[in-house]
Amino acid sequence: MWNLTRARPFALIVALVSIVAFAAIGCAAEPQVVEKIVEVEKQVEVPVEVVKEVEVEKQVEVPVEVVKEVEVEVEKVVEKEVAVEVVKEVEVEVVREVEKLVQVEVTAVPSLPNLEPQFGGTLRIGFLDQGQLDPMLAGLSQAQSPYGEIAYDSIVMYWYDGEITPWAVESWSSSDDLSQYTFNLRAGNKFHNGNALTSADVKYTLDRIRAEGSASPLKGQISYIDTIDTPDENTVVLNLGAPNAFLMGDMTDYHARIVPNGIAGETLTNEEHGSGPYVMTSHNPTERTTFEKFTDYWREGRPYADEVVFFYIPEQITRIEALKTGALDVVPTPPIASLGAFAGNPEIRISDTPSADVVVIDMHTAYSHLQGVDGWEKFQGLPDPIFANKNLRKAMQYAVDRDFVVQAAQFGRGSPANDHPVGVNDQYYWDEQPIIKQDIERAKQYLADAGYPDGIEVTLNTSDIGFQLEAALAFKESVAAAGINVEIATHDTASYWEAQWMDPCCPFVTSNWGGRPANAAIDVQLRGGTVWNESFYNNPRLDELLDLAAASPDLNQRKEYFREMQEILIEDVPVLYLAYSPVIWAHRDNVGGVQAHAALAHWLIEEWWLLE
Amino acid sequence: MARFLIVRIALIVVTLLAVSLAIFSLIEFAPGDAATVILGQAATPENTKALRERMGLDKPPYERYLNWITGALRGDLGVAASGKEISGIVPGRLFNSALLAVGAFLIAVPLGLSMGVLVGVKSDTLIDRFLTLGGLVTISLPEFVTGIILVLVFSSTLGWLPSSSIMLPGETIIGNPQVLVMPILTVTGALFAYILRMARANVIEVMESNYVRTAILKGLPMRTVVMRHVLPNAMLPTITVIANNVGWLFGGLIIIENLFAYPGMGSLLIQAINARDIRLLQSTAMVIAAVYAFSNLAADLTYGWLNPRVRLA
Repeated sequence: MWNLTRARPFALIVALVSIVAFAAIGCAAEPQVVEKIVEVEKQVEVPVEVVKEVEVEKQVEVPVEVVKEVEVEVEKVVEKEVAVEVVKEVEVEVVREVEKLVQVEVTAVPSLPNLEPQFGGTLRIGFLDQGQLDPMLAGLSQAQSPYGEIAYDSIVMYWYDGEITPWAVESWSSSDDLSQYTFNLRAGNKFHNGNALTSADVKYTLDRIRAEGSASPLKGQISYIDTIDTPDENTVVLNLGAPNAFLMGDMTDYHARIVPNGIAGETLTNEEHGSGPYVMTSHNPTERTTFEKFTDYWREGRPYADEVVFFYIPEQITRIEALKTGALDVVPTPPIASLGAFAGNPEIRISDTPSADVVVIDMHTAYSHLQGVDGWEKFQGLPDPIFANKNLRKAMQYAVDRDFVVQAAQFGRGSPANDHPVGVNDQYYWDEQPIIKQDIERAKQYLADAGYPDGIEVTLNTSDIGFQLEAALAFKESVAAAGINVEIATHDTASYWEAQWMDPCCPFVTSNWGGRPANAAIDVQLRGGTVWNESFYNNPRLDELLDLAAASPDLNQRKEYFREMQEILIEDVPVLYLAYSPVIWAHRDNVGGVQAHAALAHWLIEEWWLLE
Repeated sequence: MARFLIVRIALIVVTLLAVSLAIFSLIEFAPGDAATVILGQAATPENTKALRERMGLDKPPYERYLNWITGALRGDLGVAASGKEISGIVPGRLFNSALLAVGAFLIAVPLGLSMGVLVGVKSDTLIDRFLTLGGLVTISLPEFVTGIILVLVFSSTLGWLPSSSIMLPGETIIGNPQVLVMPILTVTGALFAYILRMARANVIEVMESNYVRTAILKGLPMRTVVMRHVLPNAMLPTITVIANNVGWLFGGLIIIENLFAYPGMGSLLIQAINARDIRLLQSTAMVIAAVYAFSNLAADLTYGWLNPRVRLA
C-alpha cells in the first residue's frame, strides 16, 4: 500500500512542475525586440543651417595606450596596499575593480562604423528618476534637465568643445563696457502650439526666474540683470547693473529654457508648453515619458529619432541589465563600479569625457566674519573652527595623494584637481601650474607648525552622493602616513545638504559640484558671504579679482585675473578640490551620435540617431 | 457572524487610523522634506522657503495631517509632488501588484502544499532532506539576491526573459506576460518554501497523533488515511499561515518590483520615499496597510469556515 501513495503525489509533482515549465517556456519571448517600420521620408539631407557637425569618430581613442596606462595604475594601487595596511577590504575592492576596468577599456572602445546618421526609430533612454517638469525649478532628478532640453528651446547652448553656440538667440552683442547685451532671436521659431517665439517670451522666461519669491536655483546667479527691454519682436535688451563678461555663459544654464509669455508656473509642473525638438505625448512621472519629433523645429535635419521615451528606473542594476538585454538604448551615468558588467559585451559602447564636475573637502575657515550678519543665525557666537589655522589646511593639502583619489574613488577615470574649481577644459584654467603632489614630510612640517606635532585625529563628514563617500575613504587612506587619523562619518543623503553641509556641526565635510564656467564656480563657491561659500572663505582680493574679471573686455587681462585667483586659492586652500569626475554614458551599438557632454546638464539628444 | 464582522471592521478602521498617524509622524521626524530633496545642493534659505510655501509644506504638521486624512476619507488622496492626482496613479499600480501576488499564489500554494504533504508523509527520506534543505536555502536568500540570480541566468546568460518590465507606450503587462515570469518566480521561491515547511511540519504532527495511528492500525489504506484524516487536520494551520502571508507578500514586493522596474505599489513606494513625496508616500503606505488588514480578516474568516470549532454564530 505504500507503493500506491508514493506514486500519487509524485505524479502530482511532475504534473505541477511541468505546468510551471510550460508556462515559463510559453511566456519566454525573445528579449523585447522592437520592430517598428518607420517610413523615413527622405528629408532634405546636408542640413544648410546646422550650426556644427559632430564628428562621431572623435570618440575613438587609441586603445593600446589606454590599456597601458590603466595597467600601470593597477600596479600602483597594489603597492599602496602593501604600504598602508589599514582598511584592507576597501583596498582589495579597488584593485579588483580597476582590473575589471582594464577589460572595459579593451572591449568598449567605440568602434562605430563610419555611417551617415539616420532618421527615424524610437530612442529608449533609462534615467534614474523624474521630478516636476517646470524647467525653472529643475532639481536633482536625473531626467529633469534632458526633459527641459528636448521639450523647450534654449537661449544659447554649449557645444561639445565648450564654445557658446547660437541657439534660439541667433546672435548677440554687448556694449563696450559690458553692461548692456542685445539678443537677436531667430525669426520664425515656433512653439509646439503654433505660436511664434518672440522677445516677450524670452523676457518672461528670465523675469520669472528673477522674480521675488521665485524658487529657481538660477535666481541668485543672474541677479546682476537690472531690467529687460523688448524693442521689437526679435530683439531683447538686457541692462545689467554692472559690467559682466560672463552673461552668455549663464544663459546656457538648464533652468533658462524659454517658456511662453504669461504662462502660470503651476501649468508647467506637469504639462509641456515648449518649442524644443520633441513634443511630449504622454507623461507618467513614476514610469515613463514619451515624446515625438516636432516637425516645425528650427534646426534643419534635427532631431534624428522619430520618438523618444524616457524610462524612470531607480535601481542601477535594473538599468544596466536592461541595457545589456536591449530593452534600453542609452543609460546615462551608470555607476563607474558597474562598468565591469559591460566588459566583454560587444554590443555596449561607453562614451566618457573629463568634466569640470569636482569632488571636494571643505574646511571651514572662519565664522567670525558671519557674526551679526542676517541669514547666518546658526553661526552667531561661535568661535572659529580648527581649520581657521592655515597650516592645518596646508598639511591636508600636501598629505593627500590626488592620483590615488582618482584611482581609488573614480576607478582611474577623471583627473586630479588642484584646489580650485576651474575645470581643465576651461579657457581660464592655469595650466602652467602642476598638480600638487603628495609630500608627507612637508605635510608633517605644516602639521607641527599648526600645533599638532604628534599628529591629529579629525572627523570627516560625508554622504553617498556622487563620488563623495569613495573620495572620503581614499582621502583617509592617503593622509594616514602624515599622522592624520581620519574618522569617516557617513550621513543620510536626503538631508545631507541641509543638516551637515555648511553647518557648524561639521567643519570638515565633503561636497561635490557640477561643472560651471570659471567665473560662476568661483563666484558661487568662494566669494565672501555668498550663500554657497561652503568653507566660509573671505578674501577681499579674490572678490575684487572676480569683479575686475567680470568688467574686463580683454580676454588676456581676464586670464591674468583668473590666474591670480587660482594662485590665491592654491596658497590659501579654503577647499580641497581633489578630483574632477568623468561624465560617462553607456549606449548600445545601434545608437550613433551619443557623446558624453562635459558641461553641466547638457545632453544634445537631438544629435542621437538609431541604426536601421 | 454579523457582529463579529462589524467589530473586526471597526478594529481595522482604528488600526488604519493609528497606522496613518504613525506613518505621518515618522515622515515628519525623518530629516529632509520634499523641498530640500528637490533643491538639493541648490537649496538656499530663500528658495527653500519659496518652494515649501508652493508645496504647502510651511503649514503646521497637524493641519497638514488633518487636510490629508479628511481628503482621504472623501476619496481625494491629493496631488503628488510631480503634479499628478494620486487617486489616478494608485489603482493601476495596485492591480499590477495584485497580478504578481495572485500569480505567485497560484504557483506557490498548490506546489508548496502538495510537496509539503509528500515530504511530511515521507519524513526523513532523501527527497524530504533535499526539499527541506532547498526550501531553507530559498527562504534564507533575500528576494533581492534570488532576483538577481534569476536575471543573470535567464536574461543575461540565456536571454529567454526580459530583465525588467520596461515596456514601450501602448504595451501592457497583460499583453506582455513574459515580464511577469521572473518577478513571480522570485516571490514564489520564498513563498513556496515557506508553505512547504509549514505543511510538512503540520503533517508530521498529525501523523504522530493517536487517531492517525488508530486509522493505520485498523487497516485503512495509507491513501485513505492521508486524504481523510491527515490532510484536513494538517491544512487548517497551514491555510491560516498562507492567508496571513498576503500582507507579507506586499511588503516583499517592494524590493522585487524595484529590482524588475515593475510598475506596482512597491516600486511606487520606493519612488515616493526617494522624492520625499509625503502625500504619495502616505497614500501608498496606507493602501498597503489596508491590504494587510483585510487579508488578515480574510484569513480569520477562512479559518472559521474550515474549522467548525471556532466558527462564529
